[in-house]
Amino acid sequence: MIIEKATNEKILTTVEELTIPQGKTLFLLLGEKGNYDLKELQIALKERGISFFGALFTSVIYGHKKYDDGALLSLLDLEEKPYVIEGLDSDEPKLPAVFEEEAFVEKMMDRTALVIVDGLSSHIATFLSNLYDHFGPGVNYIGGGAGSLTFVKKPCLFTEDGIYQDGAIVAFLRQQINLGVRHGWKKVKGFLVATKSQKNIISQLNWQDAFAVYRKVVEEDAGVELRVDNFFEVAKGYPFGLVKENLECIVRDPIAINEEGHLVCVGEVPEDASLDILRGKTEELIEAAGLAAEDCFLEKATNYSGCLIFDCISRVLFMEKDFERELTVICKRVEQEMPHTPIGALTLGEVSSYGDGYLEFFNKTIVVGVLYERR
Amino acid sequence: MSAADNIFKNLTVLYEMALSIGQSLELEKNCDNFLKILLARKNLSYAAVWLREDKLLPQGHPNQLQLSYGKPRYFIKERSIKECERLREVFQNKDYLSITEGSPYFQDFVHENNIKSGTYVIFPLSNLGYLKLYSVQAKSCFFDEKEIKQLDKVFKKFAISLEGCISHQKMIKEVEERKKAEEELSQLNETLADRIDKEVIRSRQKDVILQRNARQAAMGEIINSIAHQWRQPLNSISLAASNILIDLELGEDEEQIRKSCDFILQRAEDMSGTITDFMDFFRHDQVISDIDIEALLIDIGGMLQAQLFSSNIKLEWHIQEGFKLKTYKKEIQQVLLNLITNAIQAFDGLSKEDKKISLTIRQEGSYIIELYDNAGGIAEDIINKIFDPYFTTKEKGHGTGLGLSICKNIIEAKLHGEIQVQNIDGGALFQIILPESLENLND
Repeated sequence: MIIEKATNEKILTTVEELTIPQGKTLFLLLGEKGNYDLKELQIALKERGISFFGALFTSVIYGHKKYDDGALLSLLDLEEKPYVIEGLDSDEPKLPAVFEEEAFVEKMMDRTALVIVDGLSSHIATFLSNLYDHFGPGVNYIGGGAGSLTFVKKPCLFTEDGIYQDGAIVAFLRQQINLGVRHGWKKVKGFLVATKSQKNIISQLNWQDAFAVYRKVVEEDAGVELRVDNFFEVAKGYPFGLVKENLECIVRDPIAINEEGHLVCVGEVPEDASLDILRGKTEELIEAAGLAAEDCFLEKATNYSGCLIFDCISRVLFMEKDFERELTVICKRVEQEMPHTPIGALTLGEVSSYGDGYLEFFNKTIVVGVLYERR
Repeated sequence: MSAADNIFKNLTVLYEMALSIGQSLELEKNCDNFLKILLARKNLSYAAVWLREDKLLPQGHPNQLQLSYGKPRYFIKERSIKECERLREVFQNKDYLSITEGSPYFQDFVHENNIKSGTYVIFPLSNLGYLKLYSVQAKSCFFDEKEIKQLDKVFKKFAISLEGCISHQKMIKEVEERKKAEEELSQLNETLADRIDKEVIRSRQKDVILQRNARQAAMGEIINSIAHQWRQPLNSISLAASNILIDLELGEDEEQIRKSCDFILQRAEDMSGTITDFMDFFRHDQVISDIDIEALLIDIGGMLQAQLFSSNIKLEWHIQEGFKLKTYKKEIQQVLLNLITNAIQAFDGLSKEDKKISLTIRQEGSYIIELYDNAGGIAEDIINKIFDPYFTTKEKGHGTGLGLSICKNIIEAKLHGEIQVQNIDGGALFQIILPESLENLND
């Protein structure tokens, strides 16, 4: 259910009108341009005695449209109450002790882990690596980075227990999921090596100043001068690709130049990693979204119960008015298989595993997941 | 993508992997740095490093493999396995082994949780063990031949780095063990110092007791000597006193009575002199003097006269005329008195005609004093104990066991000499060696 021009009052009124069946958990996705007070909303929802969790995103997706000021309400079947992990700004985010228990891991086998992180946290990759260490490919992961497009850090996650910044929420859904992960960005210039980088900052490419190398490639291709003041506007069309053999590369989005003149990306770029500079064409990106939806149905299931989309906000910024065409392509494919309207969010980074492989944090990517009931 | 592009792409990925190796000397961190990149870039599900136990532990078995690293831990089940013989044989002809779920041997290789299908590819890590990679995809091999060749060198480099880590680990363990041993030693030293302090205090207390007992023992000996010395004059006094009484009853002349009284007074004076001599004996010297050793022996002989006489023992000495011994007089006097008394007592119960105690003193640089008795010598099984405090062969109540111990103590501590004993010619020979000069030795 979508609430446009959402406010605390509208949300609470809708929640009161909702009949929430026993065992269901309310999942709230809030578009950042709505008018809320997150703390008050969390307290008010808690007072109503319902199970809930949610996050503030740059925008929310309902069907083939995005709603920057909308609030999306969905009811989920969870195995357990959602788990909150705090400290994603530290070297070793501490996971709940129960994740260590063999019986718990076994119980979650084949379930879907919905993972919402604070997209502006500095140690998302470490957190995901630790999470994958516990559950491996035993569960399928889908999710993305919450937070504001202003890139100002603030609490953006909430559960019955509070509101959180620099944290993550992991909710284990009872259903299984088929995933499609695509981006459609293509290489302009390849074989760069991040010869000096730390976390999400690249200071050297091919043993030279990273910004100088990047600027040269982008200016040649785009035919515009790349400066600090227009960096975000131009760079949104030229992300990096972390080379992954035999698979589509993982996109890393350069979003700013820091005071030292280094490139700041969303997501970590390991030192010595091999990088390409990518370029996007609207049609290719839309085609990739279609393929992501298509991938979800490679293995047919019978009793589908929902479709989740986590799509990078930077694709919106790049495709602008054409963006909703990508949602339409997905919806058309999903409609062929199930009656459910896809729901999701525009994110600061996307979370998924590539099929059965390693759990990754993506940028500029679309992750589509089709939920189905376990046989 | 052109062939050249492909090569460059492969090279950059290999470059990243190669550089991730050996960034840490910690085994787990080194594995983690490299295998996380390998898992991510090759989209694998699991990587494990199994190392031979004997490479990790001094008592380890070469056919036992230990899981040194496994990522993600979700798959980890067994941590120690016996190396499959077949595996060793395989790697004599091949650089790697790929085994897929369809293979009849697939289950033999499953040592992990949650694996029922998929593919393993196993690479040897030099002679250290194996690198085991897994993908849930059931392909005959998830690496093509070209990738295998590329990775072969990377894995060899990885194996070398592991050797470095193992050596480092061993070194750290050795350092830790040494540190622990040093701490234990230091603790032991502290305890030892404490124990030594306590022992020193106890020893001092023992010395005090020993000295007190020695003094009492010496006094006992002296009293014994005085008793012997006084028995004869007391008898004489008693007899003279009886004579006076008879003379008085018989009304004998006064002159006779006066003679008897004079006799009594003379004996009493002699006895008083004996006490003075003995009291003098207990005073210790603070100064070194030239001792007329013959005069000293005459004094001692006088003191022991009664015992010598009653046991029919001849005390003799052979000393150059006018021989002087430069030392502490009272100390050497006590030593000789104790030794001669000890020799006298050695004759107890012995019926022998020519009982003798003979003493010679000469100077050969050092002074050499030899005291010999022909009382049969000392039993060989106790000869090494006779200088121990409280060691005695006498019946209970007849000896303190301190006489010889006192001698040894005086000779070594005060006179800076040494004493030894041996059996010779049916008797015991005590030999004392004293330094020519004691100057500067007792500061």
